[in-house]
Amino acid sequence: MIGTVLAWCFLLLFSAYTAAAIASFAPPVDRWMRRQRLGAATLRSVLPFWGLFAQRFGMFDLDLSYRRLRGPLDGARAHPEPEAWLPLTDNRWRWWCWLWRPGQRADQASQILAYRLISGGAAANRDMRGDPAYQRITAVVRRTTSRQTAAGHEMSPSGDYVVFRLALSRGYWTTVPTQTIFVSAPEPAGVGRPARPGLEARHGR
Amino acid sequence: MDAELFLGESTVATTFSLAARVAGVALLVTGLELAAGLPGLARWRRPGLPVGRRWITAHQILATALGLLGGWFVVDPRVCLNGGGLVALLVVGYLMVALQPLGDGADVMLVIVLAGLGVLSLVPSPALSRWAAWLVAVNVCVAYWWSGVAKLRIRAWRHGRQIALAVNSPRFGSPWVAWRFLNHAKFTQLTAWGVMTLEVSCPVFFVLGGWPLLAWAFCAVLMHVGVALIMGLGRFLWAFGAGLLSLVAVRSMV
Repeated sequence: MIGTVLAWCFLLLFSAYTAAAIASFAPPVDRWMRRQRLGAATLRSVLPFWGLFAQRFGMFDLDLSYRRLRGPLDGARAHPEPEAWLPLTDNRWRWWCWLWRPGQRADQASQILAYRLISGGAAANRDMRGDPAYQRITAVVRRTTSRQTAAGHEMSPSGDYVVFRLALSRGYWTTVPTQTIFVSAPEPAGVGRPARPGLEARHGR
Repeated sequence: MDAELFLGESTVATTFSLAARVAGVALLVTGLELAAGLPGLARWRRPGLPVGRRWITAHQILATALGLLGGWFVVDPRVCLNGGGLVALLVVGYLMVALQPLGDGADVMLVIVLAGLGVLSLVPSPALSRWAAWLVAVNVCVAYWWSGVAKLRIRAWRHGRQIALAVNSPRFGSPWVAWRFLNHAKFTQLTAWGVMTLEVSCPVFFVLGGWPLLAWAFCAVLMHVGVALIMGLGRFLWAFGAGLLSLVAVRSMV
């Protein structure tokens, strides 16, 4: 009985979804769906957009990496020790990827956020600290550099800062080297701490 | 209602069973990949959402259970057809929403196939079962057709350049394959047009049915095998493979 009721519900939902997917081909319906808000998202963004397989935005080549700045950072007088740049995700193609690729989803998230960062004006040397994508990436970097305590809380060494950068890679075969298009402002490494006032965003190459 | 009441011992039943098995493989890979990738993936959740060790462990257990359920579908596809598909759909849906970001195209296709196969034997009449099966077929056609049309609209795809750029990326191709695509423009353009024609023509071959549809489905499987081997997108092969088998099964019902 419960199974039948569930099946009915799913069938109705499935029918509604299919009707909406077909109707969204019509431009007026598509526009209407883009206007309807479902919380932070739109009705259109909830429906899977198969056109993404065309990769018209060329999201293949955006690399996010980060590094920690150890020591105090106090205006022009400070000389923090920068560590080496580390990739935020590791999703390089390997021969077994056709069978097993657990890093794919995190990398997908990094590509989408990196694209949003560019769309928000990262390549045009704007101050990006108010940008949601910037804040999401900063949060990821903080979580990456944090250590977890036995109780499950995240801890970061006090006084350290993190910086992330966005680079455009041209692939295996190219004469153009990888180009850094955005470097974030130094952000406190601690999870959830507010950005330190007075630190200007450093944009550039 | 048992799956065999609707499906019987026919070619259609065998094809749907095969689709359920392939969907099981997709679930197995999805679940185990999620379980392994969760510690890294949890970092990408929105600020403020929990990413603690307990949260990760609980979701790793759920993802592993999903993978095992997929393994069960592979061994006994009737479990999927008798409602197990709906349970799997709910878990996949929850994980995709909970993990933020939402899933990719392979997840969407998997959800579509599971929705269709899951309700197939649970609805009270064969007419409704047929309706569910047709919904899967329509969605598979839409997925291919829309992907093809979206590519056709882009000049880089029409010139073949987009494929070469994609496989030249360290994420989606090996240097060996990238060199071949970049070095042979005609071959690359031919491949691009092959992919676009294949995708756009899905509804046409579905209407034709019979051997033309089987030949088209075989070519589509070859394309997905190529995408899996060259670009490393294996989950798409299993999820769309299950969709293609469902498509063939629905056409055989007519």
